[in-house]
Amino acid sequence: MSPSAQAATDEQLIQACAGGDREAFAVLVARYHRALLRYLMTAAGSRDDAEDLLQETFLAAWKNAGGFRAEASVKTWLYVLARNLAFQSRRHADRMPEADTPIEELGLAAGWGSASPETAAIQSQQREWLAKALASLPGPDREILLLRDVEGLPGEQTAVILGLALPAMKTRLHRARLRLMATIRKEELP
Amino acid sequence: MNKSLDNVFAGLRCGDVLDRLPSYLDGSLATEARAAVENHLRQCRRCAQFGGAYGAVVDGLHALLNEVPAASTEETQRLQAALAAKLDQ
Repeated sequence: MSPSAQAATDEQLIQACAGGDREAFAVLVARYHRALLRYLMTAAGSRDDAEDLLQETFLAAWKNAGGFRAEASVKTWLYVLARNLAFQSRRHADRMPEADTPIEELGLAAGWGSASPETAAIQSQQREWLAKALASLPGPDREILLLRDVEGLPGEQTAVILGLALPAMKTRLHRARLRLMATIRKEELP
Repeated sequence: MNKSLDNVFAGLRCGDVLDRLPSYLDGSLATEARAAVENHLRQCRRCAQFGGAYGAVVDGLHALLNEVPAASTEETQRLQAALAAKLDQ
């Protein structure tokens, strides 16, 4: 790949893709395939489904590059394409957590006021333990925790990808974190 | 241990501090609201302990990213080849 394609911005790459530039497409794929695969494995729940959806996502990006409008970043747009494809193919793990549990109840289950609230903190430092707890959560909880906390996407970007207003995204994120802490507390240190 | 989130320190209920933890941690609280939460945390051991644990879990999640192995050259090449074949169809 040419140095100029490697140095191009995402927006420049998408414009080039719209013009049929396969080299620009290859750079875009190289830039985002790992993050999108991690996301799709979380959203779809299996590696095989995630790999299929990953190909479909990039092919959709190629076909729709001419329609890209810079209302959101290219990265956000790719995540939205991936998420829509996962839903369309019914491969999105959409088991919903209980939405109506009050935050304070979740906080108590997560260890607020307990004799050892630090248990969750200690166990969260053990990567294998944390990954196992994360994997056991309902799909929407895993999805938001992956985007915002693991990948570190900004709150606004996470909200756009999930189709939520920012305050609603924050509330869902808070609930998911508290459920994760409660899950961690249920287990004992190895 | 009494586990009531109704206790009030520095003019804030523990339950209100729990609600505001995400915004406190991501720095999006306004100056006055942030100061109120900090005053509460200085006086309330339970909220301070829980806030510390909550922050550590968030940090632990972000650290998971480092556990993901880098893409192998073969993996990347396989995907690029599959996409190229589909574009050629």
